[in-house]
Amino acid sequence: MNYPICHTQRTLEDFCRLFEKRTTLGMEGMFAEDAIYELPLHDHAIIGRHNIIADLTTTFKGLQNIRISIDAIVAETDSACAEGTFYAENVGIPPLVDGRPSRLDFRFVLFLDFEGEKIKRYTEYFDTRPLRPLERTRLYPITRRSPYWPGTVAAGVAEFMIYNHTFFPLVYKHSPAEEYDALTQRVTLWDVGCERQTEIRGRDAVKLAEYLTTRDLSRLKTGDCKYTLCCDPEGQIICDPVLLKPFDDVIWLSHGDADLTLWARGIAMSGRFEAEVREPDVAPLQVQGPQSRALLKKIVAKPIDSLGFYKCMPNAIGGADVIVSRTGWSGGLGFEIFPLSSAKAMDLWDLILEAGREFNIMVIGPNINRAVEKGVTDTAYYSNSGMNPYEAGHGRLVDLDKGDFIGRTALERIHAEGPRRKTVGLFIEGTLPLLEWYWPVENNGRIVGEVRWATHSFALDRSIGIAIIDAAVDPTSVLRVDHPHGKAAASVTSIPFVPN
Amino acid sequence: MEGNDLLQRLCEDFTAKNAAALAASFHPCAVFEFPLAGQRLVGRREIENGLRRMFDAHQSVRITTLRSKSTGQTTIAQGRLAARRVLPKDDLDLPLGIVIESEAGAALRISLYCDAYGKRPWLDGAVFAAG
Repeated sequence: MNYPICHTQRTLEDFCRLFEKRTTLGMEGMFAEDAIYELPLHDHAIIGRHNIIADLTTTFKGLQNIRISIDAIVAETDSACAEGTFYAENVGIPPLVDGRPSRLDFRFVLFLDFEGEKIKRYTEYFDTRPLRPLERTRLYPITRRSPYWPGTVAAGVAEFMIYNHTFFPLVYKHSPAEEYDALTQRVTLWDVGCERQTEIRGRDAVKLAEYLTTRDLSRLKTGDCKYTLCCDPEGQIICDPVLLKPFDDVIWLSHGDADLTLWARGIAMSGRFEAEVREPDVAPLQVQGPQSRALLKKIVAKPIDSLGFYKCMPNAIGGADVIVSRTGWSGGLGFEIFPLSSAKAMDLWDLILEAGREFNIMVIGPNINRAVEKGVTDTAYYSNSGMNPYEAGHGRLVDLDKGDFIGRTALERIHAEGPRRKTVGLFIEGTLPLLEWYWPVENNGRIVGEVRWATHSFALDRSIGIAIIDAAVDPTSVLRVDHPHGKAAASVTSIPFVPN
Repeated sequence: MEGNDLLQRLCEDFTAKNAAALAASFHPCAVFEFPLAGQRLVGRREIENGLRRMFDAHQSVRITTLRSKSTGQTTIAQGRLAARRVLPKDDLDLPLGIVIESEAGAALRISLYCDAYGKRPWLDGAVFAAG
C-alpha cells in the first residue's frame, strides 16, 4: 500500500500537539498493538500500546504547560526523525524556596519507525542528568546506614532524611507522579531500615508496653499489631509506633524518629518490670501497593492470604526468617517485612525486586503525596510541638480506663478540659514550595496555628496540608497560610482528603 | 562534503581518536555539543582541544551508526557510543543520537544526544546515584 510520503511527519507533529495538550485521546490509534516506546527517563523499554498509553497518562499527571519545539524533521514512508526542544513545568515537585518553578526542559532527538500508518517503535535520545534530582546530599559517617544501602544506591537514591540516626532514602530518580502511580496502581519497595524496633522481651513485656503506651493491651494476642502512642508525663506525644506482638514473650514498638529505646530502657531500669529492652538487628522493608499481596505470595514460605489488617506472622522469604505484617504507610494495601537478622538483607531485597519484575515494581521512598491524601502522618507531625493525642485527633488511641501509663494524669485533665488545639485538613490555594519549616496559619491577621504537612495531591490536583490550629477557630472561616511565596488562602476540610 | 560524509568522518576520526582530523571537519565557528564532555565546545580550536582531552582519558572510543537520514543541511542518525577509560578500565556503551548541520562541506554543528546520568568519564568510580 502506498501512503503519502508525509504521513509519518504528520503523525510525529500530531503526536507532539497532543502531548502539549496532555491528552492521550487520539494517541492510542497512533501506536501499533505491539509498539515499543523507549525513553531515557524509563528504566526499560515499554512494550505494547496499552502500556504506552498508561505511561503517557502518568507523564501527563506530572507535567503541565508543555511546549514542544521541532527544529528539524526528516520523514520517509516508513520512518521519521526530528530534533527539537521540550519545555514543561513539573507537577508535584515543589518550586524552589526562591520561587523558581521546577521545570523539565531538554533538547532531544526522536526516531519513529512505522508499520503501515502506526508507530512501531518510538525512540528518544536526550540527557537526563540535568533533569534528575541532584545526585545525593552530603553524607556523614556518624549516621547509620540501612542494610539495604547498596540496593538503594543501585535504584538511584538521591536524597536522605536522617531518621533514628539512620539515613532514610526519600528521593529517587523517578518523578513524584511516576512514584504515585506505581504506589497506587502497582507495587513499590521501600527501604525503611531506619524504622527501628524497641524490643521488650520477658515475662512483663506486655505490662511494660502497657505502661509505655496509651492503648489498652489487655486483649493483645500473639500476631496482633496496634497503632498506638507513647507520651511523656505531660501527655505530649513522643512518637506513634506500631506495636507488634510477633512472639509470645516479645513486643516490638516499631517507631518513628525518636529515641524510644533509650526512653523505654530507662523506664525498665526502674526495676518494676521483669523485662529487657533493646534495639534488635531488625531492619524492615515495606512492600506497598495493590499488587503487594500477589508479589509476596510468590516468595513467602507460609500463605499470607488470610493475614488481616494489623496482624503479623512469622514467615520465611528465600531462607531468611521474617515477620510479615499487614501494616504500612501508604493508606492502602501493603505489608512490612521484618527480617530477624540483617545477614541476608540484600538477598531479601533482590528477591523482592526479582519477584516484582512482572508487576513493574518501583523502588521509592515514603510517598508524601499519597500519605497526606490519606491523612497518614508520622512522628514528625507531632515532634517538638507539645501536641497531645486529643489535639492530634487521636483521642481514640487513649484508653484512660486501663491501668497506669505514662502521661495518664495529664491526659485525664486534658480530656476533661478539652484540647486547646485541633488537627485539621487544609485546601491551600496555589502551588506550594517545599515545606522546610512549619508555616504559620493566620485568621484575621492573627496566628492561630501552623501547617505541619503540605504537598500536592495528584488525586485532587490541588495543594493540601495538615495543620494544628486553635480549637476555637471557626472551621468555615478563610485562613491564610504564610509560606515562603506569600500568604495563600486556605479552607478547612476533613481528613482523609481521599477516603477509601 | 554532504551530511552523510561528515557523519562517516565523525565515526572514523572519533574512533581513531584523531582530534585534529575531526576538528578539521568543523566550520571555524562551529559548535560541538556532547553531554559526556560536560560542556559545549565552540570553535574549531576549542573543539580540537576538548576532544583531545577526552581522548587522552580513554583507552578506546568508538561511534557507530545504525542508520541516518538527511534533508538539506541536516543529518540525523541513530547509533551507539562505546568507550573504555584509561583508569579504571570499565566500559561505557550508550545509545546515541547524532545531529549534524552542515554548510559548504563543513559541520556548523554536531550534537551528540546520550544520557550522561550517572556517567562521568573523568571520575574513577561509578557515580553514586547511577541506578
